[in-house]
Amino acid sequence: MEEPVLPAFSWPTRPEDQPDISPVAWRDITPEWAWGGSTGKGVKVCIVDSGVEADHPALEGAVKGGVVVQRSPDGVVVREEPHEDLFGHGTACAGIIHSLAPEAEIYSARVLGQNLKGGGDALVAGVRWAVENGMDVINLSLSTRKYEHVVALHDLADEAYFRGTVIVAAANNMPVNSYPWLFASVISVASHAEPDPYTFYYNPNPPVEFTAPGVDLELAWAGKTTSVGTGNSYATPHIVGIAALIQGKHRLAPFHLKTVLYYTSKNVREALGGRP
Amino acid sequence: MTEDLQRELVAARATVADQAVEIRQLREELAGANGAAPLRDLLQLSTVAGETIGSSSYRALLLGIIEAACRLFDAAAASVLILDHETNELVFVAATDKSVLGLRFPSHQGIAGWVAMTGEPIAVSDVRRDPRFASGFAQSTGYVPRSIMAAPLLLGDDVEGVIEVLDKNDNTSFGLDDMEMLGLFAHPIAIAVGQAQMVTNVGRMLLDTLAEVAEGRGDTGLAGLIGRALAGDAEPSEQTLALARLVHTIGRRGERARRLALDILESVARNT
Repeated sequence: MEEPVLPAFSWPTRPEDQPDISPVAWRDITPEWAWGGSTGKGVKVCIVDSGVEADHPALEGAVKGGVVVQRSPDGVVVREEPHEDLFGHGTACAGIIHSLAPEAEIYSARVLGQNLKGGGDALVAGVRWAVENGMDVINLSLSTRKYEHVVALHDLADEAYFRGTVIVAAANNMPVNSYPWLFASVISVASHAEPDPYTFYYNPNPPVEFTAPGVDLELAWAGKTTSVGTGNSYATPHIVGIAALIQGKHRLAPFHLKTVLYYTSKNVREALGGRP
Repeated sequence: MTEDLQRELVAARATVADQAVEIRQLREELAGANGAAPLRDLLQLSTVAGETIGSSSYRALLLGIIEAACRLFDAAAASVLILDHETNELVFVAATDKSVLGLRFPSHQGIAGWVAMTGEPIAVSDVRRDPRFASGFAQSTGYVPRSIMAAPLLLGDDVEGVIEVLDKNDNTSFGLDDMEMLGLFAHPIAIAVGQAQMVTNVGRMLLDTLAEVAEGRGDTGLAGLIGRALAGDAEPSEQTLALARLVHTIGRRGERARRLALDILESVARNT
């Protein structure tokens, strides 16, 4: 019998064609299994923010590159160039990620600046650069309230999801709708007040999916200084750091990574009998 | 409460649109004859109305906000900054420290700049460690806070300004609860600021139109009067303001109170 011709975008239909998979029983998914021994080596993390101060001592040379989004008469353009942190916020996120995943490579996409006015188009351009340039995890502490950018951002989040790029986005600290943290294709993060950087909780009431440390945190800041800050902005890089550790060890699809985060969150572990 | 305020804002926007149409019609009518006397009346009325529902109550409102914010967060100081969309600057319009009022700085700098750019609130302590921040703040206010919390004043999708709260009196940092509270607190402020701006804009539009008409008619006395009003030095008397406020208050007490007040005022007008 002649082989059926299937389109390139199709999928295996016969049992013998199914690709090999190596699933892990949920009982075996522990922090030790998930990230034990990992340093985040080989994982590219992009911080889409105010820039990252590459020579900040707390980052120990982990910053490997970056782009600046600028406004031109034809719209926003993305230029690959070294840059400083305009504020300190991006450096603070980078510091948290580096403290958790010391061998992850950090990249910066600066999407804020004098003429950008925090425009949603700059945010979209920064995330697009990160997705198209093979970043494994994207730290997005920012969001846009402009509905005109929602479709582009939604498509981009889906593209990242299917490419295997994990977008970790901070829930807005204000009671307003903003994006992309409200999308199901990203991992959304808010704050809890405990100090342990590896402690995070699963939140069964969406849209916020996980909470991580976000209160009174010692932060790396622009000008080679430090600061102390509070907010979902700083909870997000904690999940990014953990995600970088997991991806350094397992290379999971975004939905699988989210499931591993679920099983390794403190409240789920405790509910399952206090596993390590 | 929020939905009510949103509805009020929509209603206010509709009123502004109606007023713009009225101003256009007025302009056409005034281009004709017999303009001078009604123009003077109108100018006086608009000045009184502007002062009553515009800047004076706006200033009182902002002052109230500052005081409430300090008390609510047990903070040493607070300020409200408005975004000037034309110059891309943030302007101090209310502050515990009066000396900073009117000060401007680029809207992409500092903690307030971050909030204006991102639309996200922020809480930072030990900010003195950042020398750029410290010198910038000291230059503009003469006072470097230990901790600072700031939230955007959002009108729809747009940031219209920033509210800042400085230094808790008990020396602790601003926490998540404080941040959530400031976010809720910022919403009605944004709506109030938006409405006040609309009133100011309509008043300005009216005066601009009148000035144009007066110039066209060669009425130099009237043009001068309007010029002074536009420059902001046409202060109505305290009594006129008090009367206007009283009318406003009675107007809100219902039909019976309004009719009674009208009868009394008409009788005063007839007999004086």
